[in-house]
Amino acid sequence: MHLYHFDKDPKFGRGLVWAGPEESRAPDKVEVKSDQGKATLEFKHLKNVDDATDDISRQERDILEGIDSFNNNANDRVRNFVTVGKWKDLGLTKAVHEYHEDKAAGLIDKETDYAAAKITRLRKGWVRFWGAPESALATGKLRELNVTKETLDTAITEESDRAKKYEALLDQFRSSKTGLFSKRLGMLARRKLLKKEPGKVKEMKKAKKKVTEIAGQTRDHLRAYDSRLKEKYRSYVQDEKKFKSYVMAFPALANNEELATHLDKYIAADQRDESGRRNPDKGKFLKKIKASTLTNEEKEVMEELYEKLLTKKDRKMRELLDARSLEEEVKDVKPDLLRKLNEGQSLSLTYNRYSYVDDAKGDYRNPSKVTQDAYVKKSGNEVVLRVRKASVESEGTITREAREKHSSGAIGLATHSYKPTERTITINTTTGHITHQVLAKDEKGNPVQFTERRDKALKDMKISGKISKRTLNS
Amino acid sequence: MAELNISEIRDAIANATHIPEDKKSDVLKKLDALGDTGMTEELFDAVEELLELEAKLAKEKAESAKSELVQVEKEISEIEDEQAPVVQEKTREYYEDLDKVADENKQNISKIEADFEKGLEGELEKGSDSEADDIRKKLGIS
Repeated sequence: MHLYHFDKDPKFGRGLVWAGPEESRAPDKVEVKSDQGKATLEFKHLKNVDDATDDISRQERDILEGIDSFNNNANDRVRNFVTVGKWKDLGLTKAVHEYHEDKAAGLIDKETDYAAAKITRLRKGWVRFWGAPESALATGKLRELNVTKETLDTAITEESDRAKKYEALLDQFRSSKTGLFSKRLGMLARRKLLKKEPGKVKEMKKAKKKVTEIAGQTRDHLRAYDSRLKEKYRSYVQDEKKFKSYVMAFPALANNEELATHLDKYIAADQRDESGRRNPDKGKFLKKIKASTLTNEEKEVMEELYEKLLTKKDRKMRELLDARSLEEEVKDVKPDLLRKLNEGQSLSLTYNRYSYVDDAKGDYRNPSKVTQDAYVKKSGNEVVLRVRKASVESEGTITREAREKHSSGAIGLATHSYKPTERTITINTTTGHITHQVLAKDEKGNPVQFTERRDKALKDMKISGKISKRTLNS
Repeated sequence: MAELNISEIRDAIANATHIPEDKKSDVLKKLDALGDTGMTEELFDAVEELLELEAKLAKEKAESAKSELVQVEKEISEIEDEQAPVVQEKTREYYEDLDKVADENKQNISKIEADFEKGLEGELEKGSDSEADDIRKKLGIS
């Protein structure tokens, strides 16, 4: 009698081996040899209960699948067990096989259920263990923290992306600001000048001729022309104004007083064709911009924008205005002229400043010549001039040696140094008396004020300035 | 860089999440009312300010989330440092228990198989007719 067994799966002859597909084996279980040379498993990657629960769930499933597969194979072996006996009665042989097969299959099924039940019990123990208040609290807290972590991760990505997006938009907006701005300048010029007056150059030539013609004519003519000219070039003037406010809006330039004061002059200079001594301010604007603390990008933008004010047509306009010569340089402003100057008129003053002062006696000694920029604050017989801030600042520290009353009651000489902050000069155009009112800070930084009045000082003061023809002719 | 158009600027401001609503609606109103005159300098500045503010606040939010994250991660690792050794030990035990179940199953199954073979062989080897009848009787086969 021979008993034949079907070949057993070689994997199952040697105890429990991994029976599932290789790729589903948990990759993070690292098998290492312990000191005793025994294979143990490392679980260093498991930091918390939830991680471990995931891990053991996988392992449970694998083990159960292994058991299932092992038991199914056993079942197959029992069923396919080949019996060759001396029984002639094949029916009986079959019946005996079926009887034992059923019995074994039942037992195998039971074992499968039994193993599953044991694993369920193990899992219940695991859950119970980690469900104990102390562990559960820590796990709960961890879960909460991990949710927070995820929320924060999302927030970081979202907000960083948002910040980047808006920064990019801002860059784009700023560059298009210039684009739109210069486009607007161009548009204004086109709309107001080119569209309405296609033959502008021709007309400008005509106007220039007319200006030359009427240059020597009466004030009425000049006035009429003035308003026409103003009307004609209002948009240019507006663009220049806009440009000026644009320039001064840059924080790096906002406090640049020189630029604020002379920008018009610089623009005009660049619109003129002459260079060198005849036009000393030519190129100054861009030089100032270059030297400023603006970023390179801002400088580029500024240059690009500035060019919009220097078109052929702008130069024509400047030519026209120059031809009209609204202002004339007056080297020596006489009292008569001084009296009728408009408020705001810029002047250059050269006068003597004294370092020895006896106000009571009107004794002034040790003169030194100073030249300052000023403007007319109030016109009339008594002209009030305010020295420009930059000029006052450039006075630096001045020394005044003055006779004054000491605390003892005695009158003696005292030397003080002051930093002037404001200088107002009042000129009586009839008498020629001049009064300086100076606000200053003394050595201790305390504000002080002093007044110096000098009779007939006007003859020693040299006043010059660019004065409008209208004023000159009035 | 491509030129922005007004509707892109409008969308950006409408979709901003950090800038105050009143500032937002004020500028949006002005943008909606724009004709073909272009933007005024003032409106340019206002738009610029809002875009800048949105970027700045978003950056601040991201930064504060980052520092909060550091704190949360610290708390997580504190708890985990405490929990990990126990978790690892318990997991190892659990794996051993699972292996035990598998081993036990394997032994029990082997025994069932052996019993099956033994029982089947024993009965098939008997051979005489009277024994066959006994078996029939025993198995309830007629």
